[in-house]
Amino acid sequence: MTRDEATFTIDSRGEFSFPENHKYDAGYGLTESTIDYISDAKGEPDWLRQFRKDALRKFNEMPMPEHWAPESLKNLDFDKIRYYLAHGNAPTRNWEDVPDEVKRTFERLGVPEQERAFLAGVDAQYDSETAYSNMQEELTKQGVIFVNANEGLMQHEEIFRPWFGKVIPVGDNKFSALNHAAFSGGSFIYIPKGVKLKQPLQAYFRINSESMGQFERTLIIADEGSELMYMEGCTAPKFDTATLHSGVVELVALKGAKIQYVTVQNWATNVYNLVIQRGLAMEDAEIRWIDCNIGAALTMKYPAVVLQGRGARGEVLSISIAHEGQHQDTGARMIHAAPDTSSNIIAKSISIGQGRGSYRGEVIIGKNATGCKNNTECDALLINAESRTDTYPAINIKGNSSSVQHEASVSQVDEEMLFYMQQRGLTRAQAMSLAVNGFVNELINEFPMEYSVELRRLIDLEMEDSIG
Amino acid sequence: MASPLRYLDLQQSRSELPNRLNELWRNGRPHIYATSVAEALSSRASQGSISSDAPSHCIKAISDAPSPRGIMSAGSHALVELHHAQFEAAPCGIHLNIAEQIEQAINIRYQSDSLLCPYSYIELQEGARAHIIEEHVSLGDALIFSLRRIKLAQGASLRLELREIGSGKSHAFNISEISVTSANFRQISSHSNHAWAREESICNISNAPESEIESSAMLLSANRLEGKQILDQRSDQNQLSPNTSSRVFYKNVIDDKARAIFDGNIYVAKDAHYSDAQQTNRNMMLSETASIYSLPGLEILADKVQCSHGSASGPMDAEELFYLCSRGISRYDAQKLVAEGFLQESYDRFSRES
Amino acid sequence: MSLLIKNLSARVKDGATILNNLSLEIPKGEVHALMGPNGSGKSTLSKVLCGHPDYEVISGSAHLDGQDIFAMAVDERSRAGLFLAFQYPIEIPGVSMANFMRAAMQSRLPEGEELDVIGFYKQLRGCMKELKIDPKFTARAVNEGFSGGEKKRNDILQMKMIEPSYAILDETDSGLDVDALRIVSEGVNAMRAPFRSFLVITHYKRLLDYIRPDVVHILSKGSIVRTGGYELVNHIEEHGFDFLEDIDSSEA
Repeated sequence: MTRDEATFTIDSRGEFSFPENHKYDAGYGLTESTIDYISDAKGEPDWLRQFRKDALRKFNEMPMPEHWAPESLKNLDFDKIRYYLAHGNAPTRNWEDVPDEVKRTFERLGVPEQERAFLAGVDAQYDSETAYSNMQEELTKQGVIFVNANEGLMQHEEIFRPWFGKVIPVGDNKFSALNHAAFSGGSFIYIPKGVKLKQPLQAYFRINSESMGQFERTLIIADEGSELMYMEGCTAPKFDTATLHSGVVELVALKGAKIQYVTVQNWATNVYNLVIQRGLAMEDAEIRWIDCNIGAALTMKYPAVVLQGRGARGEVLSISIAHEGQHQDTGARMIHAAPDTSSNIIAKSISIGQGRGSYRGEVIIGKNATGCKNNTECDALLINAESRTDTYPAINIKGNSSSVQHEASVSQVDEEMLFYMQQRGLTRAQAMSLAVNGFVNELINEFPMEYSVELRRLIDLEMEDSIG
Repeated sequence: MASPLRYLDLQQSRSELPNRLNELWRNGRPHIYATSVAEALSSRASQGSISSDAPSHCIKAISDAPSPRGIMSAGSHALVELHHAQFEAAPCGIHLNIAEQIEQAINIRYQSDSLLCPYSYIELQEGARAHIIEEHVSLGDALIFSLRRIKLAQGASLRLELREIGSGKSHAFNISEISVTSANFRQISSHSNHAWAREESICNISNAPESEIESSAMLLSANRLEGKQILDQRSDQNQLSPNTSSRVFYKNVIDDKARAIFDGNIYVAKDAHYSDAQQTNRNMMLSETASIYSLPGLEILADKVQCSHGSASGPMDAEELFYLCSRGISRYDAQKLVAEGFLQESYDRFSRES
Repeated sequence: MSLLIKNLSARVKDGATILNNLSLEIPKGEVHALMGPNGSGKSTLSKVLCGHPDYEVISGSAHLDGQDIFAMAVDERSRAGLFLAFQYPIEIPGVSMANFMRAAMQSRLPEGEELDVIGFYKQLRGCMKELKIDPKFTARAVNEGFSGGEKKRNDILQMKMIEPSYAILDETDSGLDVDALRIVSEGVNAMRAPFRSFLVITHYKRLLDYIRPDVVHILSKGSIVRTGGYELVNHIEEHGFDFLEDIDSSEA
């Protein structure tokens, strides 16, 4: 299939849309035959095909979430969505059709030429083979497994299948059922006992249109005493034809293990980005979710840690920026199911103009979870807001040996502060970005270096745009 | 005026009894309590005593008060309808209209051993001042379900104490809708000895267009729960115009198998700039089986604001206990002192001058 | 009659051992000073003697006028005559100074006997006047919003009211300016008596100029390494705690 054979239209925003019934995709809507198409294309064993079909049934039965969801979710029409795009055949567009703001962002962030084409949807593939294969050798030596979902389930069934769908079961909610039915791409990682990876693993190494697909499925198992950091996403705006991204990330940290999962998301603004992230932390293990949400029309993401073993620790650090037409609905959930566990949540959101940021959180201290501690801090910063910001935490504690502390605040950039900086020679935009950087500073420092530099640059850019 | 999101989904549930799917009743065991309240309202006749020592020129006929219909509630419409039915059949309550500054505290007392559905309508005219103590005394397995509407005009100032006193087997349900317009309002509520109690305090705060006075409202509560008691409190601070301030400060000491629910929302309307709102919920847990559901919330639609909320829950501070014991006070007495002191803070704030 | 500590070893619960085989005797009527570098265990000793829940005794004993205090609860030790003026006094929100003091005084009376409230307030006001504490403080919550110096003075006020037989002053001088220091010291000195003893724990010579000790002990790495008279204080003033290195190696 060549690009010329794909007839498509491009609208004024540089977004493009598919015509009906195109040859290399499974079409719209999700039915049993879509499942068969997917399973056939991947050569899946029967158990996996059946697993998908059972999940499809559940998906059709379950209602849309109401309690833990924004009203805009009602606009999602499942029948208008495309569920599977064959490997390597995503259609592309010309560089001239890429919107100017996108090009400018690439310039400002210093994205390499080669990457720009891929990110902007001009090239269907990113050639990262070389970088990836060197890393792969190192990893194999240490016994680390780093493959995609299908490889994981088919070639390493004994390692991954026992945990697959255990952290986030099929019936958890409508979207987990959806993902179980249509999943494709994502990373399956296993770190053997005692292995502490010095370099972070990156989803980027294995980019192709499939692994950055709509229904990514990631499962990371860190065996006893092991440590790893996993990074996915990038600060540069990522173009995609798909309008629904419904990913599932399951983490399992066995005794004494440590997993840090870093996500930076900047999807195009026509995307619904709904991700279910949950980690299971066993005795003395630690799971940290470090999250930055910049793109997408609607993001729903509430990284959760279930503290299942004594002494386990969970942490969620989250930054979100909502611009015109965006709703970042993010938060965190900590479930203390064992004694002496502790958790920490720091969420900072920035709403600009018409952008909307919401926080949804839940901290539960169960009956047998004695001696636990939680600290939550969520702050919202409003800039020129015609925005709205909402905060809905829920705290549920039993017993008299645990302590939970929650603080939230809403504020705006102080005019006095801006005036002072301008009086010292800074432009208003520079003053704004200094102030905003100050607001998110302690969190940005938690991101790996590569991201933190880019993030700061991105914030500068966002501030320039907002001053107008 | 765009209403707070938390009221939006209730359009559907106007006629149904609150159940677990109703977000504003979720954690209060609605399937047991809403049902028993509805039952009491349908099967019992209203009987009890009502008294007040307000100056006689301030007391008006309850039938002259604006109807309680249309009162805002947090998801309890179906039950409020039943109250309307009882009230309209046999109107009872207190109607106060105060136009001057009254130093002496005014007492209002509702007492019942079965069912009482009173309506308190309290209006303060421009510049008026009053301190009102409203006491509800429930005997036996009584239910006192009271609705309250409070209207404060420009320059008015009202201090209100709500004391819900139960018998151990009683139920109490109290909905207050308070309108503060360029005025000052302070309320403290305390519930003791009810098997189940629910309180909804909805405060609408705004400034009159021509007025220079900036409204401020403070809602406080101090409760001690033991046995299997349940206290379900909802508070709404709705700041509707620029330059207003509000504070919510609710404290609970929870022992045995008791449960407290705090669901508070700060809503700042679009264009209600320079709003200053704070909400604090503090819970002291004394036993392994005590439980708390704390749901502080913020819905902010204006940007030049200063809003925050905080919730802290945990056991009694070991350091504080140690300090008291090291002065010879027995552990038992020390715990009593610390728990009382913990709740005392709410009373101190209520009594403070400004 | 004395406070007799024998071979005391103690540690932070689930943590490091801080006191190592410490022995110390404070006879009635004497003022002893305890000095030592940071981390030597000074505060730990006072907390262990009073029964702080974060610490536990590994071995050894402590007897107050012949009574085994490790067998007693925190409040029992207080009623037996032990008082600790904290290094960092705690704030107790909502509990007024007056109520707190009343409870403390009431706890010392035999079962069934009621505190004479009028007499109590008279005594309280008298003590506050001597310590130059504003009478309005009776209504304020314990230590809430008090400055460092005010908190320390408050502890001395409690000591005056309670009249303990063995009082431990834990770094009372930290955070005090010269005036506050003088007032606090005058309060302590006024309480010196043949039936009372003091253990003054401090870093610096300054406090000991005001409250002259009869005996000085040096604490190092959890045990007493030197005991002497006031001249020890001057020695430390001049040489700091470095000379302890020599002690350790020579007595090893």
